[in-house]
Amino acid sequence: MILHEVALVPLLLALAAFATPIFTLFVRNRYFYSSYMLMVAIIVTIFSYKTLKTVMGGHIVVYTFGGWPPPLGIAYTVDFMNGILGLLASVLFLKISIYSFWYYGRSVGYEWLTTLVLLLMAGVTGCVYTGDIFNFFVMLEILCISSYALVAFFKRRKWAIEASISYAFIGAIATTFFLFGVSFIYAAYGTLNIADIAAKAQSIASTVLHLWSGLCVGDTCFGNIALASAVSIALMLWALTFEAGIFPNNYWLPSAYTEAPTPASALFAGIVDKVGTYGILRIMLTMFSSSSILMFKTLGVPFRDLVLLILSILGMVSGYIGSLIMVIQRDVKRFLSYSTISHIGLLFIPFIGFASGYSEETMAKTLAAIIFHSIVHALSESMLFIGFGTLATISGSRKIDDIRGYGRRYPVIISAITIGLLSLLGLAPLPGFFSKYMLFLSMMETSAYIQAISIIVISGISAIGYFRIVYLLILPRPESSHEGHRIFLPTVLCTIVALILLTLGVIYTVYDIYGMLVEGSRMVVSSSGIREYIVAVDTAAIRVTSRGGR
Amino acid sequence: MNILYYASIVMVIFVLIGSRFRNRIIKGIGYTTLIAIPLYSMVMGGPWDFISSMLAILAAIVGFASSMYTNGYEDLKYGGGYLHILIDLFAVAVYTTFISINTIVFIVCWLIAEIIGFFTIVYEVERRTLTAGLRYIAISMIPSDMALMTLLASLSMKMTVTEALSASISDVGHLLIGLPPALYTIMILGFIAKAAVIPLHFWLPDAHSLAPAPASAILSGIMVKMGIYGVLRVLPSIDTAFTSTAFLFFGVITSIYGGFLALAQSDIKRILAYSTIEHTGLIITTLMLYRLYNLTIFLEAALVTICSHALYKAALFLNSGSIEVYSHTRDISRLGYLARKIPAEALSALISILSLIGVPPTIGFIAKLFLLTALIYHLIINPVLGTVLIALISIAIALAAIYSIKYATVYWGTWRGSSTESKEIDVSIELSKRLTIWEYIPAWLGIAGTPPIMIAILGTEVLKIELLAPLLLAMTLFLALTYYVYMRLRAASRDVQWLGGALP
Repeated sequence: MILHEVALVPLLLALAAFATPIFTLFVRNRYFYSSYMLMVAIIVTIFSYKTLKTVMGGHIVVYTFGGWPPPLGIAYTVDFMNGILGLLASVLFLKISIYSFWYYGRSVGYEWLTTLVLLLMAGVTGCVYTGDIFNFFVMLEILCISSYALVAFFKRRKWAIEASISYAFIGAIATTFFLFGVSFIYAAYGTLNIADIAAKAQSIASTVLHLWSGLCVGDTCFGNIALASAVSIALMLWALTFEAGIFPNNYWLPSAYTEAPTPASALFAGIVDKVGTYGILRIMLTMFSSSSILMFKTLGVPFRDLVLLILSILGMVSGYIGSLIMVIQRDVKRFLSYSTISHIGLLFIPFIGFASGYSEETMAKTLAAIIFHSIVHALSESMLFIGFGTLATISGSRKIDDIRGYGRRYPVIISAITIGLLSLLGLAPLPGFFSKYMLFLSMMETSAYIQAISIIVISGISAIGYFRIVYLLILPRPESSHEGHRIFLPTVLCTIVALILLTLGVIYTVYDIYGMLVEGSRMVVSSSGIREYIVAVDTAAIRVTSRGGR
Repeated sequence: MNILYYASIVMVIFVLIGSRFRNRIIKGIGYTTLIAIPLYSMVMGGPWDFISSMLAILAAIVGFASSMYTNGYEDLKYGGGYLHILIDLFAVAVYTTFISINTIVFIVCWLIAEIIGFFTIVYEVERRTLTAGLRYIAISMIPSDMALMTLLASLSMKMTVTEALSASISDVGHLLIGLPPALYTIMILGFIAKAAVIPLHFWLPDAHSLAPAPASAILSGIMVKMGIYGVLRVLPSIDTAFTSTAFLFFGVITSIYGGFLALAQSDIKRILAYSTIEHTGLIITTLMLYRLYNLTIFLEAALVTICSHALYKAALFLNSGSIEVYSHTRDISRLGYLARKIPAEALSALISILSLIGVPPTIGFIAKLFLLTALIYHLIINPVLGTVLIALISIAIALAAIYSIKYATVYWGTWRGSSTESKEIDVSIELSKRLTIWEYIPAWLGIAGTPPIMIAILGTEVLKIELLAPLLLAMTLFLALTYYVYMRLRAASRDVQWLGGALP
């Protein structure tokens, strides 16, 4: 079904980003830029909420750009998975926009920060909503380039430049790899539409899609699709794991997240790394599902299962590395960055549950766990970046030792931060517990005991780090005596997010959120769900072709 | 009968309000009601089974004593502060863990109790307390969280998630029958980490000795029992062939290890901490024997040991706190002849130590009686293993007597180091007024609790005159003896010739 709001989300953000430099000619008032961003954020949130609502109604939303039928033109395709992530991105953006009212009072160059953040969000929402693998690449480039600029935003600090270079240098290579992967796919399949690739990779007949992209005989379309898929998987996963910050591509992440301005760090930790995760999920679940061309045997196991196993192991390694290094950090934003790495590792660990041989029920539960943990982590971690970023700004230092004892001075924001930390740790009435429990449960059901135990051990190791921070914030007496700063707005913002987290935890036990998530995820992972995804795009193509565009 | 459950939740909030306003009367009423509710449920029937009610009563008693003790302790040691709120929170968190009916409340309360436990350990802001606290998280908290997660996940595999979250905690063991071995091994390992049984024992000595004294009393008296409680709940699901034998072995090793290391300590709180390790080892041993042979005598032995240990260990930890407040040291080589200065403390320590050694008619005696009877049953069933086991446990019990005497030298022995005792202000009056009376609650319950615990375990048929008469006689003799010792101690503060030892 067609919904114009989907397409408007990235477009509006991109247009708003490009319009901002024009405003700088006339307006320099910081409240103007904050209000401008807030307005865009509200509209985007409403649109993405409406999209999710339609998707939850059981439809798959397809929007064809410019009236071109799907394999030719760009089509936005939204199912349960990216519907939720889109709303999550908008909500985080809304949070950042509110925070900007406070933050812009303490930074210079806020008009350019606004431009870059809007552009980053355009990239994120574009990546999330698109149903075209080449368009995904374009949006990924937009996302990456605005990220490089954001990391280097404080361009007088040499560490910011260093972080940006180490990010941009390998990042540019990684996105180029992604482009190579896409070109392999195009050369073999003759199409770039995800639904069309999925149809061909799984030998599902389409009504009109193949009219534009050719028919396949066996595993030959325009070239050998088995070989091309395997090569492009290797290239594309490299780029996406780089973006997600999974070992061995995690080295850029701590310094980049640390040096970026606080609103950008909150967005990076909240949603940018989830884009990488989402890309991998879309490729492994929709494009190359367990009945696809990728099931040829390598080393005695199907190639797709091998890839999933490796991703799961890499997730474990990143989880352990992130949590172990996190414990010894002295810089508070660096601490949060390593915490992000460990949580992204937790998101990758259950990938083993998507391997062939498990029932669709198990796969749906695994995906539900990943989605719920993404939501919880995005909300908590971005709140922590905002809270600690605020404390670091007013104390003039990011060292943990310099903000020790602040709990006695700013009790409200520290309580909110503590709730966020405890949620990441996984304390029971908070949603972090339930998300980790869902991950654990799905691993138990697939009898992957090593992964299951790793989830607990990783959160246990990170518990040491979280408790150290809580301890240093609350128990010691503050050393230096400095006058109180006004942090009313960040305090209110963090408190609201903390309350949202508490409510989420409480309603998890009361309402059947788990069942709802599993139900939605079943639409994504099951073979009938994938067929429905293809049919939705196919129908849109039929409609556009027959009407001659709309 | 859920009205009792909600009533106790209300009383928990009542206690916390009393704690916030530092009102001793409100707290007192709150804790007394918290003791009364499970007691009522035990007699008249209620939402909890016997084990839950018993542990809840113990938690409320120890919590009451520690909470009241804290009022004086924090003034004398820290000059004020908010330790009392932390202690009350800790006590009621452990209490609600024991009285929780369904799985989710159990898990929530358990996690909260653990986190408050961390903050009590690091209450004295120092580097070593932080290390001890972090070690507590790594060795005790993570394994038990893993156990809880596994418990919940195993339940969810048999029913829907919502049903698993609201499953009755007392039925968990039966619901879990037929689990794969990996899962119940994880659960038992996680729970015994909380109880500090080998191989996951080494967090306990630091954590329990560095925490403030009332916190140690709760940690050692009832928090390690949370681990035991967890083991008790999942016990029916484990197999009898291999796992229970393995943990039986661990339990015996733990009791011997704890006993020997307690002998080697020079810090009085570390002696008590290792003693706790020894006793949890004994409890796990009897529980595993119960699983192996399914005879109620083993379960009874375990329950009585839990009761007695909670009471005398809480009393002794509170006592060690008073010693620290009085003499500013916990080093046993620098302590001695304290009985002359603080006779009331000495009496409290004496009662608890007698209970720890197991002198009739203290509750420790009943525990030892049950333990040895149970082991003799086992000897009859399995002569070879039984002989080894009874020998090892006897060694552990003997070690308990030896380190208790070592603890007693604080009061009656001499000091070995060369320290000059110079005290500007004598705090002994205030000490006895504000601290010692609260130590007496668990200490005297160690004697007065003997008949009720006999009735609770063995049923009302022990209420026969031929059984009660010797008990009453023993108690009378015991009271007379302690009265004599107390009077002698009072006199000794003026009498130079006491025990003929070296002069101070």
